[in-house]
This record gives sequence, structure tokens and C-alpha cells, in this order.
Amino acid sequence: MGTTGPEPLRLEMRGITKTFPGTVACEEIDFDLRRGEIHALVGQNGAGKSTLIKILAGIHPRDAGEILIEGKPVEHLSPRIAHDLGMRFIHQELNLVPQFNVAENIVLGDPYPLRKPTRLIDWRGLNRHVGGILENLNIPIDPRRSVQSLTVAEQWMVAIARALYSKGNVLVMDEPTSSLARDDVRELFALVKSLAAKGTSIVYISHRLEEIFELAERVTVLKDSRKVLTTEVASLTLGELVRHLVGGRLQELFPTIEEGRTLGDPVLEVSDLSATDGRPSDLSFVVRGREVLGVTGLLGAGHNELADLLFGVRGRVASGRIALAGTAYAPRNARHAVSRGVALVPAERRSQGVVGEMPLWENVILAHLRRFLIDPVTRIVDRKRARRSTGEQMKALQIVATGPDQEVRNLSGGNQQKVVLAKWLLESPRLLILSEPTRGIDVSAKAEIYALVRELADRGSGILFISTEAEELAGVCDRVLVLRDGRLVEELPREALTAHRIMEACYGE
Amino acid sequence: MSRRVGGRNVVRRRFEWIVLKGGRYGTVLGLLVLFGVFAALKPNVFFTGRNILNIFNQISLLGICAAGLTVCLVLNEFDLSIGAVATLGAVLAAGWLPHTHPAIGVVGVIAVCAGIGLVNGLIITTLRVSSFMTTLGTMTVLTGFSYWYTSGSGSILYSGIPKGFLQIGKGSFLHIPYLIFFMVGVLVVLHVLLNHTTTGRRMYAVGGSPEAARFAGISARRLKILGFVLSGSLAGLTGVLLVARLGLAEPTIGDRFLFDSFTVAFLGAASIRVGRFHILGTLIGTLIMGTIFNGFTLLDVPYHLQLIVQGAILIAAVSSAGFWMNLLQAVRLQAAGRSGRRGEKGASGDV
Amino acid sequence: MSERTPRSWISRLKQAVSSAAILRRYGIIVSLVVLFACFSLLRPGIFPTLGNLIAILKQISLLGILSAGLTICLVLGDFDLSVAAVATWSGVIVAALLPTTNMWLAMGIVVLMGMGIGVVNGFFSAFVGISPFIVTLATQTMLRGLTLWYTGGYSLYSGIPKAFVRIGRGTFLGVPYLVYVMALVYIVIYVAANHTAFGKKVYAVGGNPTASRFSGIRVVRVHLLAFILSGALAALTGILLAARLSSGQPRAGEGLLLSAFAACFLGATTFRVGRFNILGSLIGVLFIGTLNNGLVILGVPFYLQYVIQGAILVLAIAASGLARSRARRAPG
Repeated sequence: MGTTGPEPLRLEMRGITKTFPGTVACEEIDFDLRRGEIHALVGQNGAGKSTLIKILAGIHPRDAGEILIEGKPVEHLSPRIAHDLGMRFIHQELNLVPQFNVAENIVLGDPYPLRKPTRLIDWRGLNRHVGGILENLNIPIDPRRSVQSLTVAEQWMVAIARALYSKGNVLVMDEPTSSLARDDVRELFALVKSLAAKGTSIVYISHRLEEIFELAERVTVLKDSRKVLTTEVASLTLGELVRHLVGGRLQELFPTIEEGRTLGDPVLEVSDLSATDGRPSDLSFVVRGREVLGVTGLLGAGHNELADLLFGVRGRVASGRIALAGTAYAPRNARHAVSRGVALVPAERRSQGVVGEMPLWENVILAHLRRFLIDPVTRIVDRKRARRSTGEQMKALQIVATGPDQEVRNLSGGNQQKVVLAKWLLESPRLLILSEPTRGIDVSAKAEIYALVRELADRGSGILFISTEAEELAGVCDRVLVLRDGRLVEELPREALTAHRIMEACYGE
Repeated sequence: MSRRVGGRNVVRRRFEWIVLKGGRYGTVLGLLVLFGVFAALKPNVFFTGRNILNIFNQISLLGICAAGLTVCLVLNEFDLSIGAVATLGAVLAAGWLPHTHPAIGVVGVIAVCAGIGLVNGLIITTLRVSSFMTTLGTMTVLTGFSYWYTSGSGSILYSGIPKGFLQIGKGSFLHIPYLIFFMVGVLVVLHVLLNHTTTGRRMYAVGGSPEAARFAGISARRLKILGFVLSGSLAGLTGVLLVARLGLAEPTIGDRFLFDSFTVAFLGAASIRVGRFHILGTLIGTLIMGTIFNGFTLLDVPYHLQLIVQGAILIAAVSSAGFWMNLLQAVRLQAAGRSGRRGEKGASGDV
Repeated sequence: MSERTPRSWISRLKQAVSSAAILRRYGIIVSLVVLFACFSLLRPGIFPTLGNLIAILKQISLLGILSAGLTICLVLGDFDLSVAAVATWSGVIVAALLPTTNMWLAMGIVVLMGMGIGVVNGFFSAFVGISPFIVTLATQTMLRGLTLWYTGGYSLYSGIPKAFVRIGRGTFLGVPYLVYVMALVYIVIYVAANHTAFGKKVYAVGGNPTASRFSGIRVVRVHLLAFILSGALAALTGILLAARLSSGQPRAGEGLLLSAFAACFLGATTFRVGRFNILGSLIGVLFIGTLNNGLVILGVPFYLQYVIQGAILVLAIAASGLARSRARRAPG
């Protein structure tokens, strides 16, 4: 219900720039918010949305740019100041205190209700108040429950309740529906709309483009750390929006896949695989040599868990059989997986993929130290040979760095990911599992990685490509499996492989 | 998803339930067992009112010092200087009390020790450095100071301490030694602080999830400084009461409080609210140590055996607490999976 | 919304300290040189003599060996509080064994015992998952009890063979054997930490345990080996301590714990800024030894030594904190 015109904007961000070592997160981004408006913020992974929001929340200081709240410039932001200015945030990481119960998490940062004479916390009053809020929001959770005992969806609802605990003018939600069931999503939409009607401005970040059309009035598209577009949602179609998101470079991005290639023997055979937490559940599939098999689903469908399960780092197999090149395979831990020729490029590059403080060459040889020893007794590393191999990898993968000695944390995201790949490519893996391999990576590096993946496949490895980006799945894979709630719901062969079909299958409409 | 096969599954779940409910009270149970064992071995001496009071009396000072440390540990910080601060408190008290009114003297000493805590807190929070090392440094400085301060009088200060003051350490009210009142008072105040005030709850938030606290606008800095001021003040109080009790001060008088306080606090984190530091748990840990010490003394068991037992109990308690927490986590994960609404925790990592 | 005053003077102070980039990286070495110069100026005939320098090296040799093992644990983030107690215990046991056992066999047994304690530490901390602080606190308490029990508070000095005493007091080319041992230990540990597969794993696990695990490294094993190494070197320290004192003394190791940690932390402020490293620990040990030696020569009473040591430690920590926060802010 926002009107354009002389009415002052509730929030204005001009020319926001922020860099981290090795990456530019935001470059001259403008963003504004009207009173009572629902404004969607979209962009691929790594486009800069979360950083922009964290700058607004006072968590990261901006390098350049201005922020104006109700027309008044704000020099210095901290989480406290942002809160006092009426801004409320629900970040992707939720940020609940695991030792606290629901009530204390909801009141976190705000004053507790106190008992009159003693000024001690009025627990009953708190539970009552919080219980009332939860009821108004139709959230059936007992405020005294420990937050650790909640499902992720319930935790999300607690985070919403926390954001709405005290009255605010701006509500920012980062990927709210990724863990919610269909009914909860409907409730959330109704809530968001009623808040906007009462004058709260909403920033809504989501990957799910249909939600944008259902909910938002305006949309801002970020791409490669820049703002591409801000416009009324009514003036766009879904297709046009997608095009702005991905850009017209779809064709150049992906390598050509020749038709009718012969595939190798089965590298990985999975039958009726179920994990103890239900992700995956009764899953069966085969990956052959020289094949790139994509696996996808909405957040929580089980595709990411599959990667960790097969590599032995998380989750436990409850039932089913796995065979690697014909031999039974029970993934116990990463070392076991590596010894069987399995490699994983993990989803969280910084926390799982590289040791940031170590130089490039040490990261590259980390998984195969045994190959670079001068002799097995002293176990001294043959530096020269290691650096030479690293140099070869750097050239083959086009890693941009000052040299094999550069600390990996100073490389760009794309180059860091290539270091992770280089680590595994020292010995051609039998099965290479890639989990969200191009998240947070710039476009040119993405293209290089796609080409690498296909090249690896051609050389004989079986590749499991796990991702939530429909375009890259369509562009790189031979087949795609779509999961929902841990189960296989559709398999898309090469002929039917388009980003649109993939997204359709994910949503199951 | 999870097939209820009955039989074995039911037994397993019941076992889990017992362990989960019982694990929290493991140390309390241990304490009762200790009581029972000692009572059985020394029937007429151990389980008397006088002896129980004796136990409390012996641990009262440790309880005060450990309570202050507990606050720091809640904030996820280490204060290694508490032993040296206790020594400083004792030494200063023994030095000042002969020349000033006891109330002024005591307040002055505690103020100095609070100031040391303030210095610790400022350095650690402003410069963002390791609390371990910083308090190690201040501990060394203070130890040197205490040695210097007592060097003139042959390393022991004992003359001129007013009789009235010594009464605090040895006297009692209604047969309960004053020192126990001090300990109970301190424990009650800190318990209320940590559990029923905004400040205390925010301390738990900062220690439990610094990110969540920061995003919520809570200033960790102020709380941590307060934590160090508290641990310094209470260590100082411990030193003052040491003088009241022993009538003297010398430069190693506070040493054992360092490791003992940590031991007791960690024992506490294995009790009741497992995995978290809390005052009630610290009290239980202190009682365990006191009981062991008392019982062993009555049984004429030499000190070295007490040390060995102390270490073994610490490891056993913390190990079982660890198992308990893992079990709890596993059970929770399974329950979430069973209810079928388990989504993936939001993937972070967006730049 | 407005700049708070404390912030501006802190940032100005930070800028002042870290503007000398060289100071940041090699601060301790510079301080060592400055320290050396000061003492040499104050006591020109006594301090800078060859005899005194060798005395410094001898004084720190045991601390040095202890710190070497501790450094590896600290790279992994494991605080091993038991090193001093292991040393004391080892000194007592070796003194107890020597009268009846072949010297080298006795030493070997004691080193094995030290490694065994390391296994216990590593098992409970890495495998069971308890904080190493508490595990080593418990083991050091138990070891103190064992030492007290075994010695009854008395020293063991009978039946110590002359050959053993010679290890502790003898010299070769004017330099005490102890110094050679320390040098050897540092060379070996330096090579191990920086050039072997084990060292790469240690730094990898210390830097990012998850990524290391995801690369196939057995993280638990690395922690375990580090504790075993620390225990072995602590045992060696105890043996040499007994050799130097010609007896097994139940209070021998006191004071070593704090100094070892101090040396390692001082070393972490240099070379690999903010990370523990062998060379840095050596410099830290040299620094402490030089400081102590100089203060003794100046006739400074020992309590003042404590004060100065502590103050320098705090200053060093503060300086490294300032430097690190500045480095964090600078991009790339």
C-alpha cells in the first residue's frame, strides 16, 4: 500500500560498498524502502544480499556509502543502534542461544519484565507475555521449552516471534520459508501482509521467485555484488526476473555436452538408502563413470545431507546398501572415504574446505600427504615436489594467486574453491561429490569450474553434482534427481533438463 | 523412517530415559555415596552436626572464591589470577588492619582487588586478547608484589591484627560459624544475579552464544568486565577472610584456590544443569571436595591420596557429563527426525 | 550514532603501535636485543661475557625442552597443564630407578611413562571430548598426589650414578651437555613441526579442524600424538632436572608451568603472528632466561623479578592484540 511521491522514505541506502579480504561483497549498492512496503531482495548466492543486510543490522561496518533512516543520516551502526532505530532482523543463521528456552530467546536483547519491589525477573510474567505473543502469531510452542529440542521450522518461528517482540518499523527476513511447511508459509504471508498494512516496512529475501510475485510490491535484483534493477513487481514476469538474475550469458556459461557419449561402469550404486534422520529416505540411484549426476531439492530435501553421508562426515546409514565400483561401501569417516577414492568438495568452503591460514601448496597436498614424502621413515615433506605439483594444478585450474605460498584466506572465493578441487584432483577420484560448488563465486570462475567438472567426467570419474541452483544443474549435468523430504520424487533425463523443469519438480506443483 | 520393532527398542529407550534423567544428578548421587561411605566408616564421628558444620566451614572460603570464578566461566573467560588476588587480599589485609579501622581496611582491600579485576577485564575486552594469558600475566605480577610486601617481615604478617576481626574467622552465631554465613550470602547473591536478573541472563547469553548476543545488541564488553570485577572482588574477600580465620598472611596462602576453584566449578558444570556453569553446581562441587577432605582427614588418609582421588573424580564426572550431553543430543535428533518435520538448518555462507 | 571518545584514543594508540610493521612481526626479537643491550650497559663486565651467556643457555635449557612439547599442543589449541607435574614425577621416578637399573633403561622407562600420561590426556580430551584444560588439570592433580605419595615429601638422592650426574653437570667444549640436548630437541621438533607430514597435519588441525577432517586427516590421532610428544618431552625435562640436581625432588617442577606458557605465548607474537611456533617459543625462552639472568645480576630481589616478568608478559600480549586487530582490519 506504499505510495510514491513526496513522502519520506523509511530507509535509504546509497552507494554501499563493502569488501572482505579476497572478495568484493557489495559494490555501490542502492536500496530504499517506503513506509508499509514489502520490498523483495533477490540475487544468486554470493550476490551480496546477506552482506547488505548485515551492514544494515550493524554487524559489519560499511566501507563506503550512506544510510538514512527517515531522512536522517546514520553515521555509525551497531546491532543495538539498529534495534533502537526500529529495525528488526531475522538472519539466515537464526542465532538462538542454545542453552536458553523459547521465552528467553524471544526476549533476548530486550528488557525482561521485572517484579515490582525486588527488580528481579518476573518469570511468570515473561512466560505469560511471550505465550501471548506466540498465540497471536499462531505459533503453538510452549515458551518454556528448550530451544535445542525444537525442529528447525519451530526455531524459525521463535526467531520471528523475537523479531516481533518489540515494535519495530522495519522487518528484514532472510530466506524465511526455506524451513517452513506449506501451511506455515501461508500463515507467514498473512502475517507479513498484515504487518505491512499497519505500516511496517518489510525487506523480504528469498530464492523462491513465486513468493516474490505473491507478496512483494517492489523487487531489487542484485548480481555480482551490484544492483541490477529496482522495479515494481507488477511490471515483471517470472521469466524476465529470472533473466535479470542470471543474465543473458546462460549460453556462454556452460560447456557443451556432446550427445550420445558412452558412459563408464557404475561407480556408485545406492539402493534403498535411508539415514537415521530420514534424509535421505529409501533412495536408490546409480552414478556411472564419465557421468555428471545432479541432485537437488528445496532446502531441507536431503540433497546436501546426501553428500555428507556418502563421505562419512555426518549422519549415519540406517538401512540400505551402497556399493563403490562394485564393492560394498560403508562410509565410516572421511579418511575411509578417501581411501576408497571418494572426494568431497564441501558446501561450506571457509569452514570445511580450506585451512585459511595455510599457504596454497600445503592446502593442495593436505589430502594426499603420503605422496609427497621424501622417505617414509622421517616423513619429511618433499617441498620441491609438492610445490611443483601445486604449480601444475594452479596452471591446469587457472588459479589466480601470487604463488603457491600465498595464504588461501586471501584468495577470492572462486580461487579458494579451485584450491579445494586441486586438492582432490592430485589423484583422480573415482567418485567426486560436489556440494554447492559455485556458491559465492563470481561468474567467470563459475564457468571455469563447470568446464572442469565436465573435463573430469570425460576423464572417467563419476560425478555427483549437488546444488540448489537450477540453471547450473541444467547446464552441467547429464541427469538430475529431485528430492523432497528425503525421497526421490523425479528424475529428469538429459532431454528434459531445463532450469524451469527442475524448479517445477522441486516445488511439486 | 524409524521402524518400531518393539522389544529391544523399548528397552533401549527406557535406558536412555533413565540415563537422561539420572545423569543430571550423578554428582549429587556421588556426594550422597561419599557421605554414606564415610558415615559407615566412621559412624560416630562423621555424621554429627558438628562435623557437617566443620565441612562447611572448611570449604566456605573455597566456595566464595569459586563462585566468583563461576561468573567468569559463564562468560566463557578464564581468570587465572584468583589465587594471586586472594593472596594479595590476605597480605594487604594483614598489613592494613593493624593500622586502620577494620571496616575501612576490609573495604579498601576488596576495592583494590576489584580494581585488579577491572584491569584484567579492560585489557581483555579492549584489546581482544586471550584471558588465559592476560590473567597469567597479572597473576605473576601480583605474586611478586605479595612477596615484596611481606619481605620486610620475614614473609609472614601476623602481628597487630585486631581481635575483633579474628572473631569473624573463628566465631559463630547460633553454633554456625560466621564464615558459613559469608559463603551462603555470596552464593545466594550470585545465584540470584545469574538466574534472576537481566545482567546475569545476558551473561549466560554472551557465554553461550556470543554471535546471538551480539546480533541482539548485547554489549559483551561491559558484562565481561563486570565478570572479572566480581571474580577479583570475591578472591579478595577470600583473602581477607583467610586472615580472619588463620590470623596470618604469607605469600603462598592463596595458591591452592586457583586450581581448586577450577576443579570445583567444572565439577559443578557436570551437575544438574549439565554443560553449564552455575552457582548451585559449584556448591555441589565444593561440597564434594570438602567431604572428601573431611572424610579422608578423619580416616587418617594422607593428603596425596586425596589429590589422586580428586583428580580421578574430576575426570569421571566430566566424562560422564560429556556422555550425557551427547546422549541428549542424539535423542533429540532422533525425536526431531521421527516427527518428520526436520528441515536443514539454514545454509549460511552467503557472502 | 556519534563517535564515542574511548574509541578514538584506542584507535590512535593502535595506529601508533602497529605503524612500525617490523616491530609487529619481530617485536620479541627486537625486545630481546634491547634487553640484552640494557643489561650489557648496566653490568658491562659481568653480563655480556661468554661464561654468562653459556650460563643463560644452561638455565633455560630445561624450560626450553618443556616449552617445545607444549608448543605443539598449543598449536592445536590444547592447553597441557600437566607438563610440570609430569616433569617432577619423572625426576622422582628416575631417581628411584637409578640405583638398581641401568641408566639408559631407567631413562627409557621414564620417558615411556611420560608418553603414557600423554596417552591418558589425549584419550580423555580428544577421544572422549572433555576440555583439555580440565583433563590436564585433573592429571596434574593426580600426579602431584602420586609424587607426594611416592616420596613422602623427601628427596631421593641415594644411589645416583656419577654418569647420570655428569649428564646434568658436565660440559663438552665448555658448553654444558644440557644445552646440546636442548639444541637437539629444538632442531628435531622444528623439523617435525615445519617439514614433516605430522607438522602439516598439526597446523592444519590447529587452523581448521573441520576442513582437516574433511580432507581425510584423523584429527583425534593428531591430538593424541601431540599429547604424547608433550608428555615425552616433559619426562625428558624431569630426567635432566634430576640429573642437574643429582636427586629426585618432589617440588622440582614448580614454576616451570607458568614460564613455559609464558615463553610459548611470547613466541606466538612473532614469526607467524598470532600462531604458536617452535622458533618463537625458543626466542620466548631466551627472552625469559635473559631477563631472569640480567635481573639476578643486577641484584634485583626475586619478587621484583616476578613483577617485571608478569608486566612484560602483559605488555607483550597487549601489543600482539593491537597488532592483530589492525591486521584484521586491513583488506587482503
